[in-house]
Amino acid sequence: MTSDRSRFIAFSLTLLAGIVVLLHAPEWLRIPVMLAFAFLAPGLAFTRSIPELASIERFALVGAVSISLITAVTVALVQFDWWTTTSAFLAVGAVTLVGCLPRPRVLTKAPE
Amino acid sequence: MGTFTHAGADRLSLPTITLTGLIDVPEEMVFDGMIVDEELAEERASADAPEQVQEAPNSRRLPLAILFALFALTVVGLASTDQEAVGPFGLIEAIPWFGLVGAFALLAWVVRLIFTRHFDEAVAGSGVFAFVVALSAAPALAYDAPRFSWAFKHLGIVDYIDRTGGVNPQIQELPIYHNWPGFFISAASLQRWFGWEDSITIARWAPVALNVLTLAGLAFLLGTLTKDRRTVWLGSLIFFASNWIGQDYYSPQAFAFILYLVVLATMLRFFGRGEGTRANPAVYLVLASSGFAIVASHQLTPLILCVAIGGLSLLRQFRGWWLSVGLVAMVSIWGVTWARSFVEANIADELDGVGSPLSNAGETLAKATVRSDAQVWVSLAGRGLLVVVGLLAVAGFLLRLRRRQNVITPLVLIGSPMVLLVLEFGGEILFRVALFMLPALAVLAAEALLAFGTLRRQGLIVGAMLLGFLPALGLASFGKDEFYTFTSSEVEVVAQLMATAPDNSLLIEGTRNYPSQFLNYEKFTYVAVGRESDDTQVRMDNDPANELHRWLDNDAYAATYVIFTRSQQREGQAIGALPTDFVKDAEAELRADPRFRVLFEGTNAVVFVLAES
Repeated sequence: MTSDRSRFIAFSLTLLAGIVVLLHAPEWLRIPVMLAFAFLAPGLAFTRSIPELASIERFALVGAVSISLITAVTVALVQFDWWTTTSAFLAVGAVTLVGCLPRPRVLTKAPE
Repeated sequence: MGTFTHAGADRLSLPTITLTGLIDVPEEMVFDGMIVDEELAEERASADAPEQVQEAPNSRRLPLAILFALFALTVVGLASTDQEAVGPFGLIEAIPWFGLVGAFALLAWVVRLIFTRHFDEAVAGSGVFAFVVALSAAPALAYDAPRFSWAFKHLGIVDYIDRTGGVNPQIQELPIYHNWPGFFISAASLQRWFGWEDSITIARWAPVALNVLTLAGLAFLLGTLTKDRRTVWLGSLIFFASNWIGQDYYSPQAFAFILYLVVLATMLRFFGRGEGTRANPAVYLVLASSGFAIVASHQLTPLILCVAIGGLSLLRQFRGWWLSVGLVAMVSIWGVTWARSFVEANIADELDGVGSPLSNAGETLAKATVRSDAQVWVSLAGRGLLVVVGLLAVAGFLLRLRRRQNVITPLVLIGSPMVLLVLEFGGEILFRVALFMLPALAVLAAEALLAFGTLRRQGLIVGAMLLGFLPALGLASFGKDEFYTFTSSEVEVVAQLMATAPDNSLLIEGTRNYPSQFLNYEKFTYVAVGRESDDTQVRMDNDPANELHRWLDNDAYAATYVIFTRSQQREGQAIGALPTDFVKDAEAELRADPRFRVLFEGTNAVVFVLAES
């Protein structure tokens, strides 16, 4: 998956999740969207610049980074007594959108 | 780059290989952690070279269609299972015949996909994925509620966070979870994002999500240990076909295990010797966020990870000793900040336990004492699976030595979980050690199975072996389900009690084995008869009505209750946590005694209070 496509999916999922939460969408829509957001969006946003990965390796990294970032962000919110459903979503969504920002190209090959 | 020629280095022995990681060898002389010459490097490269040919998408349709049909047959069979038919041998007795046929055929087909001559990784990976999903969805499809009483305990922590918006590291009941709350806080967030009032449904289906992520992390890690993709997928299949340890439920350890696999794989992949890929900032983010989530969620996994990456770094299996220092720093900072009160209160006990590995291991085996014949078979099946995989891994290890391949990395991964044996942490520690060893054992076992004979013969041998594994896995994984599963009736009765009881209530239980503590858990003081001394149990067994009346008539509590469930009774019969028919007899006596009345009742659970209360 290309970096641009990962960024697009992460951005779209975050947007869609925001709409679903805001509109109190019915369960049949809310659950798949929130599942995809929670397990994929942060990971896709932040691992898109890692090169040369097989699909399964990328999936492992995307899943791990997604659940790790949710943990880190929500633990921080609890530490500062700011944890609510909305604040947790807004904070994770904001972090994901930061990961979607364009970034400069990074040297990925060791010099010869 | 990566090799050097030396007259004396063409026949390396194990001590030389081991020393290689310890002495100061220039980086350009080291290839994947070993000193080798060009001839050996070529031999290794040819042994590791991927022989697979990618199939055209059209030729994938038939194998995938068969895979889907067998997966569907298995799932329909599991969904048709009658929970009431689960017997002393567990779930396996209750699955309809077509579900069992589906499961065997599914596994046989996955083996076929791995051993086909034109190996197609996407198809083989889909096969292993389908097997893992079917296996881990079995309890959710077959039962009304999540398995294991401790999964309900975890639900209680999520409920606490949901109600209060935080945790209380100084809390008296279940403080360990409040001191390592990372998993629970994210689980509470997910519950609310779904718009649900509780996480029971999430806990029921959690093994599927956790095992899918574990499979991804495992395949990633095994891919750093071998370049042969067939070995990666066979190793993954062996892992899941022999992993009966039961740590894949709604729990912080299952969550941390996934991250453990990914952190190790990332380190070996991006900081390993002989790799051309450089780590970029995103790789550091993977390590930092995953490391933090492990440290914040589980107290044991970081210790194994510290030992593993410390060992790999010391033996020069990857560059970056500072990675292990970073993880140790994270663990230490967490221990002196968030978890300070718990660490201060418990450090002395932990230090007392250090150095008594045999007693810790012995406790595991002692706790495995069982009362029923069926449980003897369940116990034997689990141990047998691990012994077979262990023996195959020894063969794989010897094969690596003969081929002069890297043995240090798998050895470190197998050895590092043993750090748990020096800690005092309950009786199941040996099995947790086995779980963390299993990825490296599985890849070595896969290499042994792929070493000899033609592909067809290998496939037949592996197929026969894994089809033999399946009943043993069914017994070992689901053989205790007669008492480790609960009905919706039990859950409803407990929920009624927990929702209506006042603060500072006393709850007397037969055993802890029922869906307990998942709602308002901190309101209660819990006393399980099964955890009392032998003398107390004998006294209670001889005269339950009078003894329980004395216990309940206690002004120190705002309210007092007794709860009996079918799962408590079954556990008592199967593994001897209580006198055999205590729950049944005590319930009958309390029903007949006018000093007690039934407060809540369902098909499989009943709550008593004193009649005058």
